[in-house]
Amino acid sequence: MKNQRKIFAIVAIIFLVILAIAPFKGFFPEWKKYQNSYNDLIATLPQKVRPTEIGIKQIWVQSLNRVDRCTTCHLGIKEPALKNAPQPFRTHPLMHHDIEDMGCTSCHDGQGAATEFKEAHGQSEFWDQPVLPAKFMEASCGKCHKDQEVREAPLLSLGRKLIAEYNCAGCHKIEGYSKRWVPPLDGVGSKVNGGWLINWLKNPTAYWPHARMPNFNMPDEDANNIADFLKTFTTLSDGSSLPAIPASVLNPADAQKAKMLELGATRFGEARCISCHSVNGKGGYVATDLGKVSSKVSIEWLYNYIKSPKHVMSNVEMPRFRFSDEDLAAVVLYMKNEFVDYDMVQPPDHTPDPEAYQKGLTAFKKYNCSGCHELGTMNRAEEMAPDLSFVGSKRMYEIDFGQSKIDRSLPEYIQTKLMTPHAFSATAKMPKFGFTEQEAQAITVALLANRNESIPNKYVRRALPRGVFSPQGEFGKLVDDLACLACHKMQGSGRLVATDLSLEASQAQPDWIMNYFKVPYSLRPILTERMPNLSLSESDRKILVDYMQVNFIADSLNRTVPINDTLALHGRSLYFDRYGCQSCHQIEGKGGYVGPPLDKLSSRLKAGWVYYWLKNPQVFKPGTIEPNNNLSDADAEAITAFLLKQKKE
Amino acid sequence: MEKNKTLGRLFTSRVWRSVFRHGLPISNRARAESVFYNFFLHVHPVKVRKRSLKITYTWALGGLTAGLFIILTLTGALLMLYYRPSVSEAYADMKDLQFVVSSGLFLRNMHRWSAHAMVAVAFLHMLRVFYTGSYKPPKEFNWVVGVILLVLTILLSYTGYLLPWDQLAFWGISVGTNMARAVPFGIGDKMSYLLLGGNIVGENALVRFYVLHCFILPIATMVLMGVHFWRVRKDGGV
Amino acid sequence: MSKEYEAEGSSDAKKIPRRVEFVKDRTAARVRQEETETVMTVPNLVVREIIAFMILVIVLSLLSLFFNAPLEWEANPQHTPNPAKAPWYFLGLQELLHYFPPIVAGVILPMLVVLALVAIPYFNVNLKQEGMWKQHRPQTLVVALITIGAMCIVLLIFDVYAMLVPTLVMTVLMLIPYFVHSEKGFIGWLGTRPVQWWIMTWFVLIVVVLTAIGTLFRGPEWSWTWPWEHIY
Repeated sequence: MKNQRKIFAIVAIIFLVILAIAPFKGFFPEWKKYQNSYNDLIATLPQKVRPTEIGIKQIWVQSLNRVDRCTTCHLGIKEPALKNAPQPFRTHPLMHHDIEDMGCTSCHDGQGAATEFKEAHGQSEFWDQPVLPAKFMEASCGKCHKDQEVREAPLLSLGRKLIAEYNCAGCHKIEGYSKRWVPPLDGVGSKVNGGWLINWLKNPTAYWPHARMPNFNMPDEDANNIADFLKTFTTLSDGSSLPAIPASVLNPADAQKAKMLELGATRFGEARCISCHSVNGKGGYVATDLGKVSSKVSIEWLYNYIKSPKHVMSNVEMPRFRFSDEDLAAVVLYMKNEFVDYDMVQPPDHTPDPEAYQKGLTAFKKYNCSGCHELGTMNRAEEMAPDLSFVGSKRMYEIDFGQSKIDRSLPEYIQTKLMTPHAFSATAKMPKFGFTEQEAQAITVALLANRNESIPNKYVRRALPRGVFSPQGEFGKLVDDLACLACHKMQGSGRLVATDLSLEASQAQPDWIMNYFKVPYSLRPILTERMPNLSLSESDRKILVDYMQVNFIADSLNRTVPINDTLALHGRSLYFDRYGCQSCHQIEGKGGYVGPPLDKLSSRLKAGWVYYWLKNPQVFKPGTIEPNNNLSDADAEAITAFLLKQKKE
Repeated sequence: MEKNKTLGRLFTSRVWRSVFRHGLPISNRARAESVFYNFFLHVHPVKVRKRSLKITYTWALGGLTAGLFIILTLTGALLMLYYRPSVSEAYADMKDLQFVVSSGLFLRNMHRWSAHAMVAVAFLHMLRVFYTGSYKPPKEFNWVVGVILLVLTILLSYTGYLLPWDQLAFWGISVGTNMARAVPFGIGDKMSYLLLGGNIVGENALVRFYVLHCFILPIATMVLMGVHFWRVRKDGGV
Repeated sequence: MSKEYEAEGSSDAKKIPRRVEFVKDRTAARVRQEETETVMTVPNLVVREIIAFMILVIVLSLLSLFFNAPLEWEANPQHTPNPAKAPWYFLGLQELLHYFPPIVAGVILPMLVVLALVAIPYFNVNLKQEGMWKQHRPQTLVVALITIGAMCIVLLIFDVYAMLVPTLVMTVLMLIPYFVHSEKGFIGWLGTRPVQWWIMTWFVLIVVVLTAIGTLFRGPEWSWTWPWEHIY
């Protein structure tokens, strides 16, 4: 009672002090410290930089529903004078977008609304998108840039390529990827050697280091059962068996054999098989390695396959070479004799399980083999692995890191999972693809771009959906038979190993094309992929050229250029003196080897093409190293005249 | 007596006297008058038993519950200035409160901790009343009012739990309303449908909880608190 | 003490005078005058109230300055956290839900509790607050043991050890003064506890134990988890 007044007084003072502290605390936020030291810093600079007003700064991007307060501390983003300043004041390196248009977190992630270091950089427990580490930065490009190839983001492009190449869509659902063609397994029983198959199932890279088939870490029992199961599939997809092959291939007489091998080697070389195939690592990258093929496939299969690839393996991208029976026999014999795997270790003999078919089928399903390989009506399995459509938005609480010691972050999780699929759980089903660290990083980047974020259409860049070019009629049949699209692009379809043929008839003279089919030569000596000699008949070549004359031509590229000596002479001086074309191209016996030689240009190219190509090469071949010299019309005409005069000299 | 003439003049001025009808509580008469005439003090009797002033008599739990309610009303009103009950804005508003509103985080912390404290203190208050037998006649009805107030306190806390619209809120409310669904004959489903304005916790539920939390339940609590205090006073309490 | 002193409970002041002095066994027969020393409300009570309120604000402010209210990830209806927990004051109920069918744990039991709480003052049980074993000792024991036994069997059937253990603890405490006669110390104090005290204390103990288990010891799939082994 007596102390009541004292107690009241003391409590009242504490009460007022505490009540004052609470708002007072708000007067000393972390960011003020940074803004003050920013103003101190710029005062020491030789250049004049406007000091910042103390206060929270924010970028509000309404259409992206983002409020980013990063610039409260990152004050020098647009200030070139602060190029070497310490963070958080350093100038932003090359910026591809307007910051007012995109904000910060749409690319960098982190918590834009936050104004404290830890929270803003997303290092708090309840913010799942911490600032993206630099090595995964390109993932953000992929959120809007949906094209396969993003020029400024090589890692993202590589990742997207790898996702397609390794057929991730075989097991996972990933937006924008469909399942890629993988050799179907119909007839595999009469195709491969049983021992090879078991070895391959257990460790594909032992046969070929760059095998795309992953390592499933299969126990012997499963490998044996799957092999026994697959060996029962001996008929082709149309139900027929492999036709018998001539005895001359199976059992050639000794006298004949040497001659045949010699012929086979010649034909194998002439056909330029190694434009697409490699032999023990040397050669093309479009198709499989042939170095050990004779230990892999049966000779019956090889003979029939080369004779008619698509009959034996549906939809395979291999041209049907028009070998004569004799040549074919020689080539097959040569391959059988030459491409033997002398190091192959036969797997231990096993007695087939009486229930091998059933058990093999179970194992076949367990490993989701049909996710990639077609087999009869089993066709493609449903996606059996997690849906990756929005994997970039996965929350930390959705990830099971198991006993792993890696950093608790989504990018690290994905990269580790790609490199060592069993890092988080011993029973994980994902097989090992043997990605290098860079490949895993690239795939991680590409996957992280798959976000569950609604991005307004005006931000999204997507390559126009391409119609699939499938020519009909005689030409169509030939394109299919010769697998032209395996290397060439036509009207947006096909692969760009060789040239895009969509404007071929505007570019090249018909006679030259006719001749080129007969004796294909490489225009660029330094290239490894060369057009194979398909031994086309006269009528086939005519069909191809005629079709091109009608379809692969653009009227806008038709242009006559006056070819006379005065103009040519002027062009010559431009060629050598003004533009220095000889540094890459050969002409008159001198010049570089980077571009194709131009001596016989007039017999190959049309004037209109040369003219427009000179004006802007990138239009016709994006990414070509031929520079765009911004030629005037007159200069372009002069050089065209000079180049087309070459034939006569 | 009056040390300061100015103050003295103020206390005797017409304006002052129109507000405070009693003099300074320096005489027992003025003290008694301040209880009679002051709206806030009239919940108390003029004199209280000395015994009931001992802290161990009530542990001040009832008063603290009322104090917490006052704190919650004040902080809650300030928080309402920055909060929009919509699925797309609610969470962002919480972040803004945390990062840019002056003392926003403090307000929110205060509101949150006071809310938890109020549930606990109200429950303890009930226990105290029980163990001291203070529910016995003639205070039965006031005990019932107290039980209803405890239920209202829990409901206030529960409806406020959803408003931040984070995982904790969403799933806490989902679990709670799923419990209510267990009421048989379809009544539970109807009840939870009524409460959520739908079958799942969504925009409607957020608005309903907001209205309940900021308007209906506080009003009901205030009215019942009035009844509660009044009864305490009439039944001879402090 | 004989019957004529039995108090009657009623709020009808016309029939029965309001204030009733209960004469307990241990008090002398003479009724002492009620201690009525009073003090002025202003300032004695009002100042104390203000002090209490200020201390309350001080404590809460300190709490708020040092501990931030939780704010987790934005609500995501697609992803249920494991376990999904209700606010702490409902975790006792949620814990019950783990043992009993939803209708019992979620509806009947809470309704019974609220009804019981509302009804407490209307049962004029033992208004004198006599110790449990004061009268009719053997009968009380039989009734108590049958009730507790039946409850324990139900709890055993549903494997509700979280409730069984506190129940048994309370039973043991309750039986001590029956067998050990002592007027002094803890046992003496236990002996003076009336039956409603035992019921309420048992209820509070159950509430506290269940809420604590639900809040601190439940992890994924509502399995038993120690507070220090939370995942993350």
